[in-house]
Amino acid sequence: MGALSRLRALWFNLVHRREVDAALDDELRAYVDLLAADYERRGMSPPEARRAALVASGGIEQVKESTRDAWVGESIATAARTLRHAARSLGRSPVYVITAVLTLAIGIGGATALFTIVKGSLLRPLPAVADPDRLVSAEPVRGSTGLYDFSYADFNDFRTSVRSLSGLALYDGTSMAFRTAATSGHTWVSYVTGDFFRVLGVHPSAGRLLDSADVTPHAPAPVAVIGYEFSYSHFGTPARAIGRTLWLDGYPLVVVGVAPPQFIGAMATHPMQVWIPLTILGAISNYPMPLESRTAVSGRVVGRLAPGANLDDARRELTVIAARLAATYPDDRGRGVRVYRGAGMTIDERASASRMPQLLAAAVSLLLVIACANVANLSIVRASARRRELATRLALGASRASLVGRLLAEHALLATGAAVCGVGLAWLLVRWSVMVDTIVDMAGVDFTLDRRVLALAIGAALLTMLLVSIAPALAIGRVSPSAVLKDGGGAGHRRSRGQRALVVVQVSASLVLLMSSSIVFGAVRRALAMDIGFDPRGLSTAFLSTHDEGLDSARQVAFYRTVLARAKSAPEIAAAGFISTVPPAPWAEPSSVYRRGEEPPVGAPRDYDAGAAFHVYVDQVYPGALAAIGIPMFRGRDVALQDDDHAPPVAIVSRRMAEELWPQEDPIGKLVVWPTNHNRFGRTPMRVIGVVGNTRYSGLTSAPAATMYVPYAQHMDFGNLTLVLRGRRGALVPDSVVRSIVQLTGPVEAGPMSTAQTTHIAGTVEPQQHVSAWLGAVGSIALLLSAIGLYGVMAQGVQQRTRELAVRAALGATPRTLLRLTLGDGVRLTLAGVTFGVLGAVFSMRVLRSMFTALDFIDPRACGAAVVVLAAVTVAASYLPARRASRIAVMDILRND
Amino acid sequence: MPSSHTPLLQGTLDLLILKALSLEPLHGLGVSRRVEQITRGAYVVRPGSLFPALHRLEERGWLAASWGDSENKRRAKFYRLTAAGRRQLAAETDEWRRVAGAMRAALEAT
Repeated sequence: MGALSRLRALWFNLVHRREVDAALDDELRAYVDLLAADYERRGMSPPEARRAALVASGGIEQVKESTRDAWVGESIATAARTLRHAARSLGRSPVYVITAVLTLAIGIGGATALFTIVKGSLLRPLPAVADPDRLVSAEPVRGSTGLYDFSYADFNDFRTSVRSLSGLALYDGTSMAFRTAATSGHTWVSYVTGDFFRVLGVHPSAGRLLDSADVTPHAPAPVAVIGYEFSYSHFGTPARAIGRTLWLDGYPLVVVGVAPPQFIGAMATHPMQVWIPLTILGAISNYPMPLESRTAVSGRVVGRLAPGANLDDARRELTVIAARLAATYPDDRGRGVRVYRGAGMTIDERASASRMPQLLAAAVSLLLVIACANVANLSIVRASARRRELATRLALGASRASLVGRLLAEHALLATGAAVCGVGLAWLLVRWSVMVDTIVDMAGVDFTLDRRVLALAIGAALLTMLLVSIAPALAIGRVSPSAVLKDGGGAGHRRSRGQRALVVVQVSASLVLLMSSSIVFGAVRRALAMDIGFDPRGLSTAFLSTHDEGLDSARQVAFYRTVLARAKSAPEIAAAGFISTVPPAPWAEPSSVYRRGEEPPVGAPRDYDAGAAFHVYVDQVYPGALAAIGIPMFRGRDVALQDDDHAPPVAIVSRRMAEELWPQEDPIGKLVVWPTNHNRFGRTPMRVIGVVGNTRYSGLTSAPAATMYVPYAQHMDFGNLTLVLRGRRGALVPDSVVRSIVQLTGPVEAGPMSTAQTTHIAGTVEPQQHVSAWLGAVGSIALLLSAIGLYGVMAQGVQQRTRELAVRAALGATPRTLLRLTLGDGVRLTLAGVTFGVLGAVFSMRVLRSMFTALDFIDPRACGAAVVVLAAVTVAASYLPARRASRIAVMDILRND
Repeated sequence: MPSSHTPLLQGTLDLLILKALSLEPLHGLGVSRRVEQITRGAYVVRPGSLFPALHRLEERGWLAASWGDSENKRRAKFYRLTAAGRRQLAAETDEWRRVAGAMRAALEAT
């Protein structure tokens, strides 16, 4: 009964509030009327009786207030009312609301989106692999130098003796030309040992996967497993692929199974689509896999922890085995092993992959801090402008608690709006990033918004809002309303010491944040490689697999010459050339080269004395290729047709390589040794004939790489070449023209040429430039926000001196002296702020760089711009109001206030 | 208005209001007068505590209210005891008697 009637009352109090309030009014009016009538009966005059009745009631409004407080659900109604008032009050300053909400939303959305993308792309485990946390990777090391790959013989010893792992597999990958009955193209092929699929815990979606019986030199038939997606593109369905033939580099294999959806093998940076037994590789590529050698490397190693074993067990055991191998075999002397959790990336790959997340994490945190700091700035300005309003409310009987409640409600509304906009923004940004596919190029990446970061960002926004609502409420709490009202909001005084300090703190804090962010954003933009070393516009490439089709050297050379001649006569083509790999090539691996005389002795182990080696990317070029790509030639000459296998070996080096090998020396004429099986000159030194510009050879996000270009005619064993075509005036060469050039030529039968894939380099670079432009925009927004916040603070201060200025003018000061007075004050405050700001920025840079090692670059222009803009804004903020004040008629100001 | 009155004990106001309404429905001022009368002027209930109490008791379902004409034809809100209110009055009266008896016994003990 009681509960029911209370529910009913709650309903009425909340839903029919107006009627309930009206009824209370009537009831109390009746009370006063009746009481007055009582007094009249006792002989008072009607007006006297009424006044006495009102006095006896003790203030009708207070009675109403305490009666309402007794109502059920009054706290809810009060909260709703407070929110309504807050919304109305915010509605009166739309600019503040929009700025604050947008600022926080950018902070929340930007932070969440960046984190989500980074997490989804770089920190994810290998897809379609069971229990990836139990996987363990191992790398051989000499001292602290990583050697990447194990020899098969060493791997086999590890595999047979290790107990803490339930399985250990060796794998590596390479690119091959493939052909099916209907299609052809290029694909990444992984060659693996028998335990590979068992270790990864993968189950086939059709047929069977490889096992130990397939991976022996005496396997009955050459077999292959293909990727799920590959089976759809080239065989129709997984089931239809089973038993069919797949040619890799012209060698036939039988497809026995299809991997599960999204499985890309064990190399995160190289999504594989075909897996073959390690033992078949020799038959396909004519390089027999040396199974007995301890110097020839075969691949990477992944294992799975045995039940009950942990990472430390595996590390301990593998280290012991490595020590035993080092003691037993002279080739393994000095070698150890590095063991780490997970699979997919080598330690070096992880380090380079962690560069971008680090930079982004720094950028994201700063973005959030800037957003919060500026909203706080804006809110503090707004609060001080409202001192009078708050004081008036206080004087009219509002409690301080209710004022705090009001401010809290306003800021809570703002924060909520910002959170909603921020989530929406994050969602859009992630969709957009996935669409342009910039930061990552991987299938099956999970891009659901990172909840923890989202919560963190929203929490930061809420906390900021809480702080900015409590601060002015406390300030107003300490001041008596009459003081504020009499004071006219601070006018008539010079700015108080506290206020001046606030300006200095805000100038310097803004500067610290802006300079820090310009460093971070500058580093990210630089990492995103605005400059890849050449102009990619109008550049297209076509991959030609002459080598894989089994052409001999003479026919290859003839073919390339014909193609080139055709290309040069085509009107759409401005320049053409051949190169083995077109930068940027993230998959490229560097080779070891030596200055002449420092090369290892003949027969030394592969990892002999890594100290004298320089790691450079080696590319084979045809004459004219560098010019066609647009890599500038600084010194010397390009390779020529005369640089063939009868002429002395020559090389062109990038600036970076010249600086590394021969610092402060003229590289032209220097001799470099590249001891590799591929070099038909063996260990004959190559003479440097030219120096060209740097390119981002190993990927857009990497530093400009040391690169060496050698003439194709002297190193033909590399195999396939890429045709580079530059269209006229930045226009792309039409695909039909490309196809006609490669098809119409001589001795090659239709085959891979007919499917030569054209890639437009600009298309692979543009998205990164979009992201870079976006980051630049965010940086500019940060600057703009800081400027707005700071302008508010400064202008507020000057405005509050209007009255003082007017009095001075009345006492005879000229507008000029007034201007100098306020401006001088503003400039002094700005200078103090800039000084502290620069000091703070230097300190924060140190901190940032110790936290994020990737911040290796400081853009002095960006820092200078931050200082100049902020200084200009603060001076303008003290000049403009001052000028207005000095021109306004004195009496207007004094009367107004 | 007389200012010499005893401060109300916690919880006694509700009981006094229920008691005041046990004879006939009354409006706010009527309740106030009746309380003053039955406590022989010891308690004067000011509107600041009277109306919150009336509304609270109404929301609990112990009082019911309706609008009617007062003695001088002024429209006023009249409160009356509901059945639940009567039960509550009886229960609180018993409780109060026990407390009062116990207190008297305690204070008169020698």
